[in-house]
Amino acid sequence: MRTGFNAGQREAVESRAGRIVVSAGAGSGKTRVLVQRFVDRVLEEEASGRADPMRSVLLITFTDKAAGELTERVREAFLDAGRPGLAREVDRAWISTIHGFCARIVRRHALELGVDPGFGVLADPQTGLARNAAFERAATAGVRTSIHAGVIAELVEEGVADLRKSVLDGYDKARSKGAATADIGIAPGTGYRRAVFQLSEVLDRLMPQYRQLPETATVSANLAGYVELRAAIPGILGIESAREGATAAFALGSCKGDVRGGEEMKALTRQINAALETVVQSAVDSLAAERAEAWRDLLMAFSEEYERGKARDGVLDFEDLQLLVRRLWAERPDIAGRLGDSFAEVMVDEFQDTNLLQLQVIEPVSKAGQCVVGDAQQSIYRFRDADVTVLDGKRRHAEAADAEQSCRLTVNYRSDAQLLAAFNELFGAPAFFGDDYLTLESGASRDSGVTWAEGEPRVEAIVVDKTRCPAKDWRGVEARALAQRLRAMVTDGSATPDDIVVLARASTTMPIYVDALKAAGFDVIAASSGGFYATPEYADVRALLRVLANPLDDEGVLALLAGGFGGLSDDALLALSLARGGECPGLWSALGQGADAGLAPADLARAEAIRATVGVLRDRRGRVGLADAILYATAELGPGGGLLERPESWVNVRKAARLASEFERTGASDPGGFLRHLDDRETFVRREPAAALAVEGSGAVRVMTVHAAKGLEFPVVAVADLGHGAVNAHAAFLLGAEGDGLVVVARGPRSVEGVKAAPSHAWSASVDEEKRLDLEEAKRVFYVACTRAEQALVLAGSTDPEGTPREGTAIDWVLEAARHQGERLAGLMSVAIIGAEDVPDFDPLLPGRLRDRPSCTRDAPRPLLREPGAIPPPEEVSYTALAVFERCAYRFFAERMLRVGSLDVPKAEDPLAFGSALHAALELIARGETVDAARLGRVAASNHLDGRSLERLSCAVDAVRASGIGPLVASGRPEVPFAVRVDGGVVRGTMDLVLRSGDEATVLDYKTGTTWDTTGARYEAQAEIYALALLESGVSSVRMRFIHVEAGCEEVDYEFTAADRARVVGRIGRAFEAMRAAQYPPLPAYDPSLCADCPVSGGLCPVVHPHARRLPR
Amino acid sequence: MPLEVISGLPGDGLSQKTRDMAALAAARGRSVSLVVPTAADAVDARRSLSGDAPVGVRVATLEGLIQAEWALTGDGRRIAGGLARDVLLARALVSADVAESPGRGMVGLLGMLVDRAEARPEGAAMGGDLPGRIVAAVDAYRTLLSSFRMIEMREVCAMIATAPPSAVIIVDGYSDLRSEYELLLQGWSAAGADVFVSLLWRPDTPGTAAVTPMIERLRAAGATVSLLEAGDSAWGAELTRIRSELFAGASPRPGSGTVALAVAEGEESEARHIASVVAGLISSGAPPDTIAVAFADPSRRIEWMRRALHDEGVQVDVEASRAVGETALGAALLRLQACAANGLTREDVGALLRTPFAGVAMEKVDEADVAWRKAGPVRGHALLRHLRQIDSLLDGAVELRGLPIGVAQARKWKKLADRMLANANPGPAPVPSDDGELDASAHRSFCRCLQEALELGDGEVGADEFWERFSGVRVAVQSRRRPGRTLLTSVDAVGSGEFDHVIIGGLNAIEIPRRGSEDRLEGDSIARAMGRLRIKSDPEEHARMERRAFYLATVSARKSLTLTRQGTSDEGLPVRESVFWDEFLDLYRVPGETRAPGVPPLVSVVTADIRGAGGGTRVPRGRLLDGRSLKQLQGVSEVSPSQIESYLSCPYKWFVQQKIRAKAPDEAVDRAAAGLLAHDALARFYREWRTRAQRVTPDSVEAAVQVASDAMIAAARALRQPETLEEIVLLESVGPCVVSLVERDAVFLPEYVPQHVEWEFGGSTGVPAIDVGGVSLKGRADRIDVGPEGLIVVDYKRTTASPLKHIERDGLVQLQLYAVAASRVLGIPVAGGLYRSLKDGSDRGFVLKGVAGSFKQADVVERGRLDELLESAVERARDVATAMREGRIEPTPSADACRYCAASGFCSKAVTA
Ligand code: SF4
Repeated sequence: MRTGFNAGQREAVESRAGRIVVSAGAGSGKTRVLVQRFVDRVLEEEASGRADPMRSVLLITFTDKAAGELTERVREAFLDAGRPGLAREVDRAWISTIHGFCARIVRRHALELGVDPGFGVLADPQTGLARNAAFERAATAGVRTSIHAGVIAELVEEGVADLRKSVLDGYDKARSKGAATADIGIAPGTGYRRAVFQLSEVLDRLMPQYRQLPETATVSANLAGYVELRAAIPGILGIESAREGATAAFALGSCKGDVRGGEEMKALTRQINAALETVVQSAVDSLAAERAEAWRDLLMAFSEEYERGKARDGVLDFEDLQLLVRRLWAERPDIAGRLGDSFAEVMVDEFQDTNLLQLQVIEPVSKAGQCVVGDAQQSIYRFRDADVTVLDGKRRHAEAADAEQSCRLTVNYRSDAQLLAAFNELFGAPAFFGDDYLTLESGASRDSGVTWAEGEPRVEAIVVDKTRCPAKDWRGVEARALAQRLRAMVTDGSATPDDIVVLARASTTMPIYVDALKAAGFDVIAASSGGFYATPEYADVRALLRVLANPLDDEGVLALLAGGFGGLSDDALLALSLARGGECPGLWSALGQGADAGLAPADLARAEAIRATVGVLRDRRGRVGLADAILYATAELGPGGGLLERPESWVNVRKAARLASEFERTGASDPGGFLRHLDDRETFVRREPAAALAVEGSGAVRVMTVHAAKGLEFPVVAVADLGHGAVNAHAAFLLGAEGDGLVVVARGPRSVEGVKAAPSHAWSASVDEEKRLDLEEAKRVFYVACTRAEQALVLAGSTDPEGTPREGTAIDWVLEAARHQGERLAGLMSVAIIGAEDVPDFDPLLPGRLRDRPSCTRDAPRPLLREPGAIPPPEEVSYTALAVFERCAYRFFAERMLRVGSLDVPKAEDPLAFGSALHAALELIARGETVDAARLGRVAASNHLDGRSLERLSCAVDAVRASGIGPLVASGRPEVPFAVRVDGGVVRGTMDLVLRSGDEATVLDYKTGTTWDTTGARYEAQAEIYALALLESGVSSVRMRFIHVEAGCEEVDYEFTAADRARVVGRIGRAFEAMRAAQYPPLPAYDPSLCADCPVSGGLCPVVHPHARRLPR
Repeated sequence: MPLEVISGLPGDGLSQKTRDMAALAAARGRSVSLVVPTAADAVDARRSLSGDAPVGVRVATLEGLIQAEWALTGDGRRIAGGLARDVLLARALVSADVAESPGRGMVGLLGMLVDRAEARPEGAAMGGDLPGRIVAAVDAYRTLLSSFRMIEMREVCAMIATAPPSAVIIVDGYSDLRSEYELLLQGWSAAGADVFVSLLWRPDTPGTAAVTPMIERLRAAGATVSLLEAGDSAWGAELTRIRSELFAGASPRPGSGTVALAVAEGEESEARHIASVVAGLISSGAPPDTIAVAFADPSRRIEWMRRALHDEGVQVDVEASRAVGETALGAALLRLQACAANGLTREDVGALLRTPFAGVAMEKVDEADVAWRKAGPVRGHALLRHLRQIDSLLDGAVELRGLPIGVAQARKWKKLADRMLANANPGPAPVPSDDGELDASAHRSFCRCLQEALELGDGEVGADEFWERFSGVRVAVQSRRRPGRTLLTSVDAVGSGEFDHVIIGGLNAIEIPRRGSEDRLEGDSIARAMGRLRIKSDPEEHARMERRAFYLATVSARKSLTLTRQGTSDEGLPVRESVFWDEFLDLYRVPGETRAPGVPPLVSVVTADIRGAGGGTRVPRGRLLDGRSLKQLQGVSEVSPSQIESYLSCPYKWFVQQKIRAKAPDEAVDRAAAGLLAHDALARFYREWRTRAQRVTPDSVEAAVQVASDAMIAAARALRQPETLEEIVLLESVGPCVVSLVERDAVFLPEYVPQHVEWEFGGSTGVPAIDVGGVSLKGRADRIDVGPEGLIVVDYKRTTASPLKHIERDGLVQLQLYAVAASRVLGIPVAGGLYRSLKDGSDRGFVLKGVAGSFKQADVVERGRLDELLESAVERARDVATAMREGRIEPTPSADACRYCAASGFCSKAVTA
C-alpha cells in the first residue's frame, strides 16, 4: 500500500502526531498524500470500531473542483484497497470547500442559529445587487442624517463608485478577520492644534533672531509673512470646529518662507518651514481622521442595511456561513465538541490561502488531530483576504512543539529536471525568494509528449524593449512575438496546441494575447473575461431590448438601426431622421414610411425586415421569452446586419441570451426590467474571470489567468505580460491591523480649498505596508505561474532593459536574477531582448488553422420562434365530462382541457354535496357497513352538510331502505368503475350499483333533488354509456334503473342489448370527433343551470349573467 | 390475506403483469383497485384495460385512493395539505417560540417532523430548551390541526387500514418509502384483501439495494416475494451488462458503442448536444416517442432543452413542474400584487403593462412609458393618468391590498385572475394554445391556494401569509406522452418506463444525487427533538433512492444510452461531476484511468463550437454615398462653436448628434444636467441682480449670495427630481458651486461689468448670425463682461477650466468665436475669453495684457497674439464648415470624444476606457 511514496511523502502519510504541518512544494504529489492519508485514517477508524468511519475525517479543499477530484481519487483508492462498499459511500464523506463545510453546518444547526434552514446562498450577481442596494440606502441616509453628513456628501461627490468599492472591500476585510464593523478603530491624527501651538512657539523663538538677519528683499518678505502668520495663530486655535480649524491650519502652508539667502537665514527659514510642514501634515491628518470616522459610520450603516436585507430575503452570503459557524462554536461549544469528537482528523489543503476566520472555524473541531498542507510560496489569494502568515505561524509552532510535526515535500514530479534546476536558480535569486526559497528536487516527471532538443534551455525569456516599440503598442509587439514563438514550437513539432497554455496576470490585457494567437493561426479557448460588456454584440442586444421595450425611444432605435441587427446605411439614417415630424414623430415611425422616407432599395429591404422582426416579437410579448427574442432576432437580422461578423460574435450573443434566460428565471420578462438588470450587472458583478479549461483535446491553445491555473499543470506554459506592474492603486480608505483589532486609515482630501494636499501620515505608512505585501504576492503569483510547466516555460514581458528596474515588475526581476545568477542560469534559461523590428507581421499565406478541430463542431440550427401548439384533444373523458361537453362544449374545454381554476366555496344546501353524501351512504350500506345515525352524521360532515341537510339525508336513506330497492342495495356491487374504448378515445366513469345475474346486468343510478325528469330524456345519454361499458364486458343485456330517491324512489328505466351498441358508439364518436376538430362553442346565451358555477363565465367566456356588470375589456 | 411482492427490472414486464392480474381478477367478478404512480399512468392503464376489462377495475394513484376512501369513511376532517398546512405549521413555529417569522425552510422542516412523529409528544418532552420548543411546535401544530378540523395523511392511513377499498388491490411500481403506506397495505391485506405490490428490485443488485430494507420488512410481515425475469436478451450485451454490473464493482470491459458520453461547457452546450443526439437518432429512423431525455430535476433545464430541441425540429412533451413565478400568468399575478403592495411604482406597473395580461394596447403603454421616463420618480395613481384600461385591475388589487383572504376577497382575487387570463386570450370564447394551458395551470394553482386559505376559515389567512405561500407554489401542466414526441422528464420517471433510447443529462455533483435536505435533520436540536418524538431517521435513505433512480433510468434504455454532464459552467467555472458518472465509468476502466481504451468515446462540447449562421459584415460608419444625403449636408448653413468643437472631436459624433438627433425619452440627471442647472441658476441670478446693480462687489456680495440661492432654488424646481444617491448628491453639489462663483464675482475682473448674460446670436433674439466663410455662426455665450480694454467672453464650466495651453493644444474655438461674434455685433474690441470653473474656482483662458485682475501668467497675451488666436479660430470654423458641407463624417475616435458619445455602440471605432 505504501509503494511509490518518497520518504517525505511517507512521513506525511504515516505520521500520527496530533498536529502536522506539511510544506508541500509545487508538484510534490501532495494530492496523493492527502488521499492516502484520508483512506488510511478511515480504515483505521473502521478497524477501531467507529460507527461511521467515512465521516470520521474532515478534508477541506480550496475549490469545489478540487473537492471533486479528491473525492474521486479517494473512491479509487478504496476500490484499490478492495473496499467497494466504502467506495460507494465517498460522496457522503466530509470532503468539501470551507464554504461547503460551513453551509452544511449552518443547515444542520439553522435552528440554533436562528436561520431558516431553507436559506439561499447569495452568489453573483445577487450579492452585488444586494450590496449595492444596501450601500445606496446607507449612503443616502448618511448624506441626510449622519453627524458626518457633510463629509459623507463630500466623499460621495468625489466618486460614488470608489467610495462604494472601499466600503465593500472594507466590509469583506473586516469579516475575513472576524471583526465586527462596530469594533473598528480610527487611526489617530497627531492633532493640528498641537502642531499650531508648536509653530507659535517656534515663531516666538526664532522671529527675534530673524529680525537680526541682514535685510534682503527675501528676508523682509518672509518676515512680513511670519508676522502675519503669528498673528493668525490665536484665531486658528480659537476655531471650535475641528474641520474648520484644520482647514485654516492647512492654509498656513502657503506662508512658507523662501529659502534663499545666507546660511543662517536658510537655517532659520528651514526650521520655521519644517514647523509649518508639520502643521500642514497634522491638518491633513486631522481631516483624514474625520473622513475615517465618517467612512466608518458609513461602513457600519452599510453593514446594518446589508444584514437586514439578507435576513428579510432569507439569504446568506459566503462569509456569513463562516461567521455563523464561528458564532455557533462560541455559543454552543458542546456542538463543536461533539462534531470534533466525530472527527479523528481534520485535514486542510492549500492552507496558505486560508485566513483567520477560517482558522477559527476549523480549530474547534480539530481536537483529535489536524493535518494542514500548504506552500507559502504559492499563496496568491491576498486580494481575497487570504493570509499567508496563518500557515507560517502554524509551521513555526509545529517545528517547536514536541507533539507536533512539520514535514516537507520537496520532490517535484511535475516538471522536467532541467526546468526544475532553472526554477531553483531563478527563484533562489535575491530578486525572488532568496534564502527563504524551498528548493525543489527532481522526481520522475511524466512524459507529456513534448519533445525538446537536448541542451536547449527549457526556459526562454522574450524581453521586448519598450524603447524599440511604437508608443502604446509594446504589448502588441510582445503578444505577437510570443504567439510566433509558440507557433514555431508547434510547426517544428515540439508541442501541439493542446499542450500550450498562456497565463496572464490580469484579465484586462488578455484579449491582446488572444488576438495575437488567433492571428498566428491558433484556435484559442479563453475565459469569458469582463470584456463582454464592451463588445459590439452586447451593445446591439441592448439596442434591441430598448426597442422592444419602447420604440418611441429614438436613441434606442438609432442604435438598433445602425448596429449589427439593423445594418442601415448612414444615408438611410439621415433620410429617416429627416422624415420625422408630424404623423411620424420618431425614427421608428419614419421607418414605416419606407420608400417615402427616401430609403434606397437595399436599406428598404433591411427596414422591412427589422420592422417585421421587431413587430413579431412585440406582438408576442410575454409569450416569447427574452432569450428567445434575442436568438430569433439574431437569426432573422444578424446575418444581414453584420451582427455575426466576428468569430466570437455568436458566443457573445449567446451569452446575452443566457443572461436573459437567467433573468427570466426570477419571474420577470419585460425588456425594460432586463435592461435595468444588465445595468446593475455591469456595475456590480465582481467576478474573477473564469477559466475555460475543462475540455481537453480540442486542439486549441488555452489562455487564462494565473489564478485560474492554480492546481493545474501543462506541458508548455507561457507566462505573458510580465511587464505589468504588481503594485495596485490603493483605495482612499484602508483597514490596517492594530494590536488585535482593526483601524481605518484615510488618505485624506486630495485638495483643501483648491490646494493640493499630501496623503495623511497614517495612510502613507499603511500604503507602504500594502505595497510590500503586494510585491511579495506578485512574486508568489509568478512562481505559481512558472511551476505549472512540465516541459518548457516561455516568459514574455516588456520593459526598458537599460532603465532602472521598476518596482514589482516580474520581467525586471527575471533580468535581475539572470544578471545575478549569471553563469548558473546560463544553460538553463535563454534571454532574448527584441524590438518591434524583430517581430514581423504574420504571413497571411501560412495555413490558418494549426490543427483540425475534432468533428464535434456543428452549426446550431437557425432558431425560429416556437409556435404555440394546440392543446391536444383528450385521450380519455369521464362520463360527467362528456355530459358537460354535450351541454356546453366551451365549458368542457375550459374546465376539462384547459383546466382553469375554480373556487368552490361551500354553501348551505349545495345539491352536489348532498348528492355525494347520499351516494356515500348507500355505498357504505352496499359494503355491508352499519349506517346508523352516527355514521350518517360523519358522512354529512365529510360532505359539509348542515343540520337540515343531514335530516334530509337521513330521510332519503330511510326511503331507500324502505323501498323495494333496499334489498338490492345491500346485495349489489357499489361504485363500479368502467373505462370503455370508443372511437380511439376512452370514456370512464363509475356506476352507482351493479347487479349481475348470468350475462344480464342491472344498473341502479341514484338521483336526488326536487326536479325530476319523469320522461327520463335527460338520462338517456348516461344510460347509453353505462350500458355500452357493460355490453363491452360481455353482458348481453342491460337494464338501467334511475331511482329518484327523494320522490319515493320513483324510477325511469331503459333496456339495452347488443343491438344498441353501434348507435351508442356513433353518438360518443361524434363527440370525440368534435373535440379533435377543436370545436368548442359556448352557449348562445346564459343558462343558469350551467353557467352559474362555470369557472370561465364572464372571464374567458363572453357569456355572462344578463344583469352582471362586466369589467370593460 | 398475505401480501405478495412481485419484483423485477424495467423491461421485465411488471406493469403488464399487474394489468393482466387486474383484468383477470375483474373477469372473475372481484372488485379490483389498480394503484399506479401518477395520473398519466392511470390514463395509460385505463386505456390498456379498456379492452380486456372495461368494467370493474378502479385505477387510481395511492393518494387518490386514500382520499376517496377517507371521503367515504372519514369523519369530515380535511386532510391537511398545501397552503393550509403550511400556514398552520408556520403558526405553530411562532406559537412555540421557535421562530419569529418562519421561512419556507423552517416550515418544511417542521412538516418533515410532523410527517414522521408517531404519537403526540408528551408534555415532558417539551422543555423550554430549543429541542423542547421544537417538540412543542409539533404539539402546537397538532392542536391547531384539530381546532381547524383537519387531519394528517398519516393518521388517515391508520384509520382506513382496517377496511380495504376492494377485494383485490394491486400496486404497480411502488416506490414511496413512507411507512404509513407500507402499514396501510399491510393493514388492507390483514383485513382480507389480496394485495399485490410490484416493485423495481432485483436481489443482489446494488442499483436497487435502496428498497431492500423495505422488501425485508414486508417479508418479515409475511409477504411473499417473487421475481419476474423476462430475460435480458432483448438488450444488447453492453446494456445487459449495465443491468447486472453497474455499481457492482465488476471488472471493466470495453464498450461496444451502445453507450455514449459527453462533457459540455455549460448548460446551453449540454442542451444543444443532447438535442443533436436526439435529432440524430430520429434522422436515423428512431421514432421520436421511443426517446427519453432525463434530468434529476428537469424543471431547471426546461428552457434550454426546449429551445435546443425546438431548433433541431424535435417535438417534445415535457414532464416537469415550475415555480409559479416562472409561468407567465403566475409572474403577472405576483407582479400585480407587488404593484399594490409597493404603492404602484413605475417599474412594477410598467412590467405588468408589458404583459399580455394587462390587456392594454402596446402603443398606449409606449406613450405612458415616455411620459413616465420624462417625469422621473413618479409613483401611485399618477402613473395611470393615460391608462384607463388597467385601472380596474390595479384598483382591484389596491383595494384588496393587505386584506386577509375571506370569501369575498377570494372571489375578487379570482375575478382579477380571470380578467388577466381573458386579457391574454382576447376574442369571444378563445381556445388558447399550450402557452395558455400553462397559464391556466397557474390560474388553477392560484384558485387552489385561495380555496385552501378559505378551508381554514373565512378571513383566517392573512394577505402576507397567503402571498408568501403562493409564491412558493409549483405548477405543472397535465403530463402527456404523445405519439411522435420525445419525452423530457425526470430520472425518476424515466426509470419506471421503457424507452429505446435514454439520454441522462446533468450528471454533476450538485444535480444528482441531490443532497442537503437530510442535513437539516442532523442538527443538534433537531436530532434531540426527534429523539423526544421517537423519530428514527436514516439520513442516507434519500441518497440511496437516488442511486436506485439513476440505476433504473440507465437500465430502462433498450437500444442506446447517452450520459452527459457539464465540465464547466456557462461562465467557464469548473463543475464537479456526479459520483454516479465516475461509478458508471468504472464499468469500462480501472478506476482513475480517465482515458482507458475501453471507455465509450467522450465527446467534448465547447461553447465556441456552436456556431450560428455567420456571414455578413457591419456597415462601415461615416460614409455618405447617396446624393441626397450629400446635398443635405451641402446645405449646412449655420453652425455653432460647440458644433464645431464637436465636429473637431469626432465628425461622426457630430453627424449623429446634430444631424440624426435621436434622443432617449429619459430625463437624465447627470453631470450634463447638473451643468445646465448651474447655468440656469446663474442666468436667473444675473437677470435679477442686474435690476439692482451693475455687478457684484465686495460690499454687495452678501445680498448677491442670497439672490443666487433663491435663483438656485427656482432653477432646481424646473428639473426632474433626483432619484439615486448619485443624482441627489450631484444636484446638491451645484448650489454651493453657484454661490461660490457669485462670491468670486465680487473680485473677478474688478474693472468690468457683466453687460450681457446668455448672449445669443443667430437665434431668436434678433442678433444676427455672423458670417464666417459663407457659413453663419450662431450660438449663445454665457456672459459678456465689458471694461476699459474691451469685452471678455465668460463661459462657465462644471469641470476644470482649460488654460490657454489646452485651448491651443485641443483646438478649442468656443471662446474665440463668441468673442469674434460679440465684437462684431457690439462693436467692442476683444480683451479676452475666460472659462470659469464651478468645480475648483479657477478662471482660465486668455486675457489681454493689462486687464486688471489676478490671472495665471500663462494665460495673459499681447494684442498680436490675441488677434492670431481669434483669426485661427475663425479659420478653423471655416475649415470645419467646409468639411461638413463636403459630407466628411468619418469617426476619429479618442477616449475623450467617445466617453459620452451616442454612437459609441455602433460606430465600430469607439475607444472604451
Ligand atoms: S464613439 Fe468615438 S469614434 Fe465613435 S462616433 Fe463616437 S466619438 Fe466618434
